[in-house]
Amino acid sequence: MLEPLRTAFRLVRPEEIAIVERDGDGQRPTMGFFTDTTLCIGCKACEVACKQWNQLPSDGLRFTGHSYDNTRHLSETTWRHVAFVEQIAPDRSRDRSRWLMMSDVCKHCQEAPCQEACPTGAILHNEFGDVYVQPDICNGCGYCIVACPFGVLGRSEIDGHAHKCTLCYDRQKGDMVPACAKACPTDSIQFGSVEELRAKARQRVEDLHARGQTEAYLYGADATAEYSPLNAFFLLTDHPNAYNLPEAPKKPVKGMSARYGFSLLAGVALTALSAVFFAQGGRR
Amino acid sequence: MSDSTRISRRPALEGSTTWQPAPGERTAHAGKEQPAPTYYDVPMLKPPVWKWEIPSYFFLGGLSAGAFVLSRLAARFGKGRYREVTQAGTAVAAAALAPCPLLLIRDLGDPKRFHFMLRVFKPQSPMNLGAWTLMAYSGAVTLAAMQEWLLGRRKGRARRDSLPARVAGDALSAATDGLGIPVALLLGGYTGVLLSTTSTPLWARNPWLGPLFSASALGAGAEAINLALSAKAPDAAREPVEQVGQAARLAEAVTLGGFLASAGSLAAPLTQGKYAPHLWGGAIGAGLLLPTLLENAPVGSQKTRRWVRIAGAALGLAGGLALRWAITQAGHPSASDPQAARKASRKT
Repeated sequence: MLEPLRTAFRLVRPEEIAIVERDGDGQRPTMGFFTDTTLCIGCKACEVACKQWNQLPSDGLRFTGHSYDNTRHLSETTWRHVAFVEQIAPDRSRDRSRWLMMSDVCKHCQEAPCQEACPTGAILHNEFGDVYVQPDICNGCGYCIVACPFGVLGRSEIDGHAHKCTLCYDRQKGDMVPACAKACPTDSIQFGSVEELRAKARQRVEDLHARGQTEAYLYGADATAEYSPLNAFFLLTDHPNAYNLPEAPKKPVKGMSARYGFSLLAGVALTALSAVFFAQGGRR
Repeated sequence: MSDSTRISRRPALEGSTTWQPAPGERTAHAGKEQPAPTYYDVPMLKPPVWKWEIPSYFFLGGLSAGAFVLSRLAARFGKGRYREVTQAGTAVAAAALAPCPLLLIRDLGDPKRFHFMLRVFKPQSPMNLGAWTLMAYSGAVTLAAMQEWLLGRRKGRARRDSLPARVAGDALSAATDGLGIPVALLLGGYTGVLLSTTSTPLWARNPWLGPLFSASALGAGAEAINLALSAKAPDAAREPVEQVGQAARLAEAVTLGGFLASAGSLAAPLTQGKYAPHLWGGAIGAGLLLPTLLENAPVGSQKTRRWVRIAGAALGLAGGLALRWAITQAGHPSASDPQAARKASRKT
């Protein structure tokens, strides 16, 4: 008789909101994306495949007028976004002009600020090691949206919940490749175990360097001084800012305990002072 | 687009496969010359989805916590001289707290799931900790209100309380203060920590936001009690409350200065533009300067003094609201500015 009540008021255990058990033995590899922007031709097949598989609503017909990019950015309804960086030399010379195209996606951070911020435990790392927003738990508080250093998440006007790339959790469960990687005609988007992808990516950078494309480097494959590796990482050929990516993503929670400390210190100091005022009974 | 900012041709990276800034590249982004072009001015970050409910809650929750702390201090350290302060403070704390949960629930994308905030205890998330703090604080305010009710009932009676009644009363009071004051202080300041634990450039990891909100909470509590007492209580009863108000204003001025200095040019959406009037006119002018001026105004008659005091307290409260409003709302233009996002995420 008490069971429904007990279920309703049972606190979720910490391990339930951290990482879901990795199939018991912990042997399942972490899965992710390697997006090689040097292979991207800007066809947007990934955007379309993602929208179709995940049944995401339209963003409306809107022409930006600045490039072939009419999607502009990732959002609650856009989980893949192809950026068109047009670097045209003033003299319009072909040799010194270039187009950089990049299919952007949720970075699936190994230590994800959105997951850390989420007050309901709706956001977790699933058994594939990917960051997943449980749609039946999210209550639309909006805290993950300001926590994300990449501006990935958005809150839907339709259901009021936060949404982002699930790394095709449902397809992965069925041993299928995520829709965007499946649709990509040039293998710019590669899906696999992060460890294997990293090795592949490093090899690719070396090859590119050997062939004269010395600007190629990996973004997010390794941990930086303060940020975790990204399970969806990129091969870029210009400064991250050119692709609208942060140069060095920061962890919002870094220093949080100290900030609580300062906050309480101010409160305690004023409280002690107030106690003195009341004990003395006003100015003497 | 000038040629030099177009593509930063980087020397070959010796065996390294991770990105390193090339020599001279940093200066191209440092803003002395033309800042590097953004991606068609598309924001790098998402602005907060919070609307008017959140800054209003930040203000009311802080005001309630401040009034509660002062009411309990008056009862514990006032040697019985500040009954009016305790009564008014408890009433103010309860009245300001009442709309808080409603504001928070209203702001949710899916309000009927509000109680999911309490399905986990996750102190790592300031919002989760805040939800639990608000719950505990509601309990503390209820205890305080219960005490006031019991004390009010006893008033008419001539005989002294029995020993068990006194012990029970002391225990209730100790529980209210011991639980309530720490929780209230957390409630007053966690909102600042919540904002600072984000990627929004204006707030991100700014250590002054918590202390600023803490000081402003106690200040608003003092002003509200002052306002509630101005109708009838004698000057002597108000004096410590006014002193607390002064000290809180000073602390607020210092921490606000620290916040703005620490944010540097990232504070531009607050110090210039749409929310500048809220900051300079509201938070600083009405909230800090005018109450200080009015307090020291050479006013003669008793009646005029009272009105000046009421005006000062009301302005102080308006300033407290303006402060929360300006800081919270300026997060929108801050997050929408790709140059600010770049600056905030630069390698240090």
